Amino acid sequence: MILETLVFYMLAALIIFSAIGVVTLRNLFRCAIMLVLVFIGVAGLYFMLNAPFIAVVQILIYVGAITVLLLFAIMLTKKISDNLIKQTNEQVLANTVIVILFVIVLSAAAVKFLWATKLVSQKIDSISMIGRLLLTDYLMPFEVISVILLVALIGAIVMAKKD
Amino acid sequence: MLNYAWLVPVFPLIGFIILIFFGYRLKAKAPAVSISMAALSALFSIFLLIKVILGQTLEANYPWIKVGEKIFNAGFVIDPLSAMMLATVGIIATLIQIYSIGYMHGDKRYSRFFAYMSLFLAAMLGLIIANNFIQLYICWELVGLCSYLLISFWFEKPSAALAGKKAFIVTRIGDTGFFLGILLLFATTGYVGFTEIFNAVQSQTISPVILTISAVLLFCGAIGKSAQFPLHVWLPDAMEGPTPVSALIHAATMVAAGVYMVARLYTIFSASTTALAAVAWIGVITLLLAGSIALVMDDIKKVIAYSTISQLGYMMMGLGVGGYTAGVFHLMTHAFFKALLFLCAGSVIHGVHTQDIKKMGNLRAKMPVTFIAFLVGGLALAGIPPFSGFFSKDEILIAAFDSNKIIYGLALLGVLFTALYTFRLIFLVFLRRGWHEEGPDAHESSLVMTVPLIILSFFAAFIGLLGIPKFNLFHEFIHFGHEVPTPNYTVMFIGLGTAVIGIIIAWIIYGARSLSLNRLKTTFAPVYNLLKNKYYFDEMYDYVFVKTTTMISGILALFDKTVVDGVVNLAGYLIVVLSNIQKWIDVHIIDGMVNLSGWITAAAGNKLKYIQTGFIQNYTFIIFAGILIIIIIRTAF
Amino acid sequence: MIIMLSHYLVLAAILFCVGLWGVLSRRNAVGILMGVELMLNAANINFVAFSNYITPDVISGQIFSIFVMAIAAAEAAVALAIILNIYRVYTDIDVTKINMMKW
Repeated sequence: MILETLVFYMLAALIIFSAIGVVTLRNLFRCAIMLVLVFIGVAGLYFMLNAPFIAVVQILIYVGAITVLLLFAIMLTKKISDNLIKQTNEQVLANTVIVILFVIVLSAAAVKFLWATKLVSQKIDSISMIGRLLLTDYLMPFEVISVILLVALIGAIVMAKKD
Repeated sequence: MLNYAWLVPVFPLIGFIILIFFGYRLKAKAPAVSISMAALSALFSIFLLIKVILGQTLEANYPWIKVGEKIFNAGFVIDPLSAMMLATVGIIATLIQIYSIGYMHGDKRYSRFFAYMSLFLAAMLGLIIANNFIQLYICWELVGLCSYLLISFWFEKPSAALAGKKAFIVTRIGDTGFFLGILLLFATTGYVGFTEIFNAVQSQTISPVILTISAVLLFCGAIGKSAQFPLHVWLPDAMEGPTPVSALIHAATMVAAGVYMVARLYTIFSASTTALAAVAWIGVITLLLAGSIALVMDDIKKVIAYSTISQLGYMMMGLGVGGYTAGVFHLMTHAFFKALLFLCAGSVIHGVHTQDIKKMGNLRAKMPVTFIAFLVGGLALAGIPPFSGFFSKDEILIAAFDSNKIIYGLALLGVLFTALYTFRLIFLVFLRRGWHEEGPDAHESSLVMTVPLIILSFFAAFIGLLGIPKFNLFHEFIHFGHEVPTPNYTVMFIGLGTAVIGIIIAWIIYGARSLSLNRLKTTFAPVYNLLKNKYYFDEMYDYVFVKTTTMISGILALFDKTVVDGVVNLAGYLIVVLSNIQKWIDVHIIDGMVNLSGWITAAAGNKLKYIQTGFIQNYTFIIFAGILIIIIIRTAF
Repeated sequence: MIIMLSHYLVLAAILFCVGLWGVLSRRNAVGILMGVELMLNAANINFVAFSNYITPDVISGQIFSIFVMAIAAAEAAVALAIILNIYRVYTDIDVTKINMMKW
């Protein structure tokens, strides 16, 4: 119990601080690294939420693929003057207000609402269940997502190549 | 046979219709149509006359117009008066039309002349046999129309056109009175038929005042049609028409229609002594007025025209003093000898190509037949026995003597004038020697013109014998009431003597030229001027009536131009002003509003375009700010 | 104290808003993309938390989060290809300088 709470708050702190780091640091590389930390924290959260498969997939995809992609993009679009200029634009103040208000509203909604929570007795084998569901109930989105990935792949290649 | 009497006016009517439509194609053969129709009517009339002499009379009626409960009949009456007139008019009209073949030869509207003559004859015959006021009035107006058409036959001459207009308008004034009289009688008695009205008059169901008034009004028509004073002014001007027209219409027949009408309606007139007195006095005034003017006229036709007016006055006077038979008898004889005189004048004019008697002279040698005929007619007119005029004039004088001595005296003066101007004419035209003679062209007229002259001379000479006092056949034939005429030989001789005195005076002045004409003229200068200017009647009428009417029309025309047109123009102007205002509204306000909306859109766009910064983070910001606002509003309220 | 659903939801909300702040405020295009990734992750946390607490026997939330991840990956690829193109044209990926669509 206490372990759970402790682990949760540690992961939460990790996630939040890393996230703030992502959006404020000047050096983009450092932003990317902080992003990795966020992903790992989120994966940990997934473990806590009885979704081991999702956690592993998170790390695989986000950290493994997307971060690398981001790093490549950063490297390809880097300028020397990047570290010197301010990273935020002129509407920062208004943004901050909006964001804080948003947080308050969303949190208030989340806390105030009475969720109909259910507790399950036995542990569920999520992997096999996901596998089964993907090929029966969610077959259509599954196929569609493969097409999307294919299209994105082709699109990215076509757009990014030099001609 | 009398049943078919209604055909008498129909024959010339058929002639008119044929000539109007086909006359141009017939050209020189046109007179054949109209003369044959006229002769047919004349023969039929003579036949009817014989039947009436033998004692038959007829009045026929056929229902014609139905107005509610009332039925107006069309009909005709054949009695001694109408039969005598039918025959007279028929014979004279036929002879004059034969004469016109020669007189109108070469005229460019030859066939139309005969068409109008036929129409006139149809209307006159219809007038004679009419037995009710409607038919009488219709035919009355028709003869007036034909008179207008024929007077202005040569309408290229402005004076002829004016004369036609004058004739029509002046007679119209009389006809208005005539129509009022008819309406008055209809309103009081409820009838238009003569027989019914005579019955009403004799049974004394009409008040005397109404009777007098209606009789006087009816007489107004006769004043106009028969050119009595004061409506006599149209007849002299009517001489603008061709001479056959003057002979037929303005001597023998149409102007006689007034006298005929008084004779026909004598029952009405005799029932009112005032009306009869009016008739007599107007007749006498006309007699002297026209007779005096005829003494100084230089145009041969004008002399004969004034003579006609004078003789018509004589007839009216005769009827007015109670001499019904006398007046009608004179009507018949006058028709013959006046037509004869006019045709002779036409023959003279045809021969010498002028109408001014001062330029004529010694035509006895050149135109013998015309001279003899004119002499016969002139003697008849002057009243010398055994010619017809003597007997008829004489009867009138007797009637006047018996009734009113003053009128008798004035009538004698008229006889003197008549003889004087007639023989003045004869001396100046035919017998004058040594005066200027019109060119070598003077010749006797052709046979077609002289034969009618000869025939009419016979009538003028001998028809008077019907009225010889001893055997007064005419009186037995046509009479009114039961009076028996007593021959008064004293009056006869006085009358004859006056006529002879007149002839002698004429011979002294114009024949032997013992009394200088110029000295007479200077001695009686004011009288002479008055007569020469026809008592200034035309000038007076022109000043009083014509100028007044013209002035009133001018005022009304001015009113119309300024006020009425002004109002119309004002309306137009106001409309223009209104439309200008509307235009201003349309251009400035409505278009302004449209332009304003466009301008607002453009101005708003101009200002609002800055929203599109191209900066995506602005857009995202707006999205989330909007979501927040919605959430807050939804939860707060 | 027991970790309730609301904890996870609040955490996800904070993460989402941080990502939002990054999207709205960063100049660098890649930085904006990173903010978007954060937002997607927050959504994923929401899905899985709901799946765990409300329908633990039917794990539809987890499946949905798989799809979200796949989409995020595809979107990141395409976005970065676009950014590379922009870099080629402008030699600069400062979004404040790329405003051709302004008035």
